[in-house]
Amino acid sequence: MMIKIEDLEVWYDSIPVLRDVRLEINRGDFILIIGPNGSGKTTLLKTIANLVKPKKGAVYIDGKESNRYSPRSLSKILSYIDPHLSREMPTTVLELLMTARYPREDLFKIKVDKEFINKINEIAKTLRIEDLLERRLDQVSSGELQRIIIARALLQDPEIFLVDEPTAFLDLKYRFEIMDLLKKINREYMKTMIVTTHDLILAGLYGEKIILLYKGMIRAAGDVEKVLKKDLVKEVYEIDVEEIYVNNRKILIPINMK
Amino acid sequence: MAEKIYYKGVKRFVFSLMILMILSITLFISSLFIGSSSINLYKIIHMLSNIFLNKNSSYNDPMMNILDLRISRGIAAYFTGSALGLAGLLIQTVTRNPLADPYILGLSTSSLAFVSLSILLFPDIMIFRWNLVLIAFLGALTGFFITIGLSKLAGGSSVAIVLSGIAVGSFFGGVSHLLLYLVQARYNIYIMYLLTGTAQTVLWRELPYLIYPSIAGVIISLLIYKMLNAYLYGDIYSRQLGFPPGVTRTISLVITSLLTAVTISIVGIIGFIGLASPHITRFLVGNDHRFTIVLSPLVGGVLTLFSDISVRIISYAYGAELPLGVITMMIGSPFLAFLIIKRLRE
Ligand SMILES: Nc1ncnc2c1ncn2[C@@H]1O[C@H](COP(=O)(O)OP(=O)(O)OP(=O)(O)O)[C@@H](O)[C@H]1O
Ligand SMILES: [Mg+2]
Repeated sequence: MMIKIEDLEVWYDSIPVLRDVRLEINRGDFILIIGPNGSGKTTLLKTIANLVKPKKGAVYIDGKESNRYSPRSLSKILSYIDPHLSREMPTTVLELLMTARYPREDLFKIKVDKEFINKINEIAKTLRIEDLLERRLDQVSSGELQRIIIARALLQDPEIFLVDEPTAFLDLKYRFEIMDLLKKINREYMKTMIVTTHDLILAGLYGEKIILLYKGMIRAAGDVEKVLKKDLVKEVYEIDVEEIYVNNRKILIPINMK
Repeated sequence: MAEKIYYKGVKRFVFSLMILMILSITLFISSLFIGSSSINLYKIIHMLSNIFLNKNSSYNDPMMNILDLRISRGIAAYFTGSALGLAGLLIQTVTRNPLADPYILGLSTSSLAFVSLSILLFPDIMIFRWNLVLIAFLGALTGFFITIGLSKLAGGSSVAIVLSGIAVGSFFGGVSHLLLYLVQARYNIYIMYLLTGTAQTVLWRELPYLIYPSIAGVIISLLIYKMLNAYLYGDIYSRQLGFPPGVTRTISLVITSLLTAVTISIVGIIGFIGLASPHITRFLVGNDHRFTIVLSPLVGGVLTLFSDISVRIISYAYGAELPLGVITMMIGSPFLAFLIIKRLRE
């Protein structure tokens, strides 16, 4: 599955949010999107997932414009993994996880596959949420919820993962664990991963291709060396940073205001 | 682990289903014995066998008429409850608000106001029941949209919806009262009972208006149960699974309004059944629509038939007919109070 974004422009009401976005993403890419609050990261993911309509330009998936896909066939290809689920109605974690396979199932099918339930077990164990399955969704911690949402995405198993801030709210251990997991899935199953994050240290450690969004435009794109540059980060984030190298990878450490 | 929880859920569903079926049948049979004149078991079996064997020989028997009325009344009460049980479940899902109910959100009284106005203007409409149902349906939709519009102005929280619903409901309640009073004064027909519904007046030939929409509602809802489950987690979530939330909303709203409309045009306002049934159902089997769509109508039916039996006992003891809606309101409003307290504490 290849994604091609051409000359994209997205507006909310009368405010431009994304401008001149041009991108090509190949099958199996692992892409990190960074950028300050409000720079348009979430909007870019949502536009790729056809949840937001562009004002100009288009997103092509395998050469076909994304809004030409039926909602159902698009849901088999890609998934926008939203950190904000509505939790107003009381449901359990397991009830949420069981919805993950809907895109692949017949709409009217009532029975649940044994194989799917085994898969839930397996993934719940990996993310250590197996004790939460019976818990009400509005009674888990933010970090637990984040893991539940990732587990659900893995169960949905699309070709393209559009993961919005998977490491927010997580403690240090789970930050690495989630990133490792996303990378493992990316490697082993050739799934395309597009992940947003605010964590520049993680970006340094895991980045292959990084896109830096700033004021709705792509300010820089490329590998770690090219994007995580002292001056660039200073300019965009308005903070001072220090460069260090760990295991031959460049990492930026935020110091203070410039 | 997951399979254990899942099969526990299935078991709870089957168990609840059986209990509710048994309760339904027991309540229905006992309802045949309860009323202002006593009929013994032998007589009932005799007459029932006559009905089912289609022997009309004893149709002149006054007892037969009484039994006839009791059967239609029991069925009417039960299916009114079923209709409201499903309507309540769907409206809670659509608004993602566990405090929602066709009565609380003002659909019932707005529907009744439309019905009252049309009877006042075109009294003949009473004969064309489907037209009346259609008008009641439009009334219910109107009430819903006014309430939602008002609650959006008030910030859109779950309590804002309830408060808007109460405002809209009281307004249309007053309008209905006035209009029905005028109808009664002008045409000299007794119709005020619609304000606090009753199953007593329902005739055999009116039962299909309650039965068919309820069954159709359950079947259609079951066909979209996955869309409803996905809808619970938000519009974005639903769309990302490939289900346009607008479609889910439209189908559920049409079913909710239609079911509210049939209960309004046949038995009148029966409050709170739509609130209590989904909560009891979720307590039994959780929030998977695959299960709740089947059970909530049964819970509604049982609650309403039970209320109607209580009505008959009280009416028998005091010699005057008590409206059914009064009892459901007494059972239901403490329920609402409890839910509001729980909600505001969180
Ligand atoms: N539904 C909306 N309606 C109007 N404006 C919006 C909407 N969603 C986002 N915006 C605006 O669009 C801009 C980009 O928002 P977006 O959520 O894409 O940023 P982001 O990079 O994901 O930010 P964050 O890091 O805070 O998540 C912001 O200025 C925001 O205020
Ligand atoms: Mg964002």
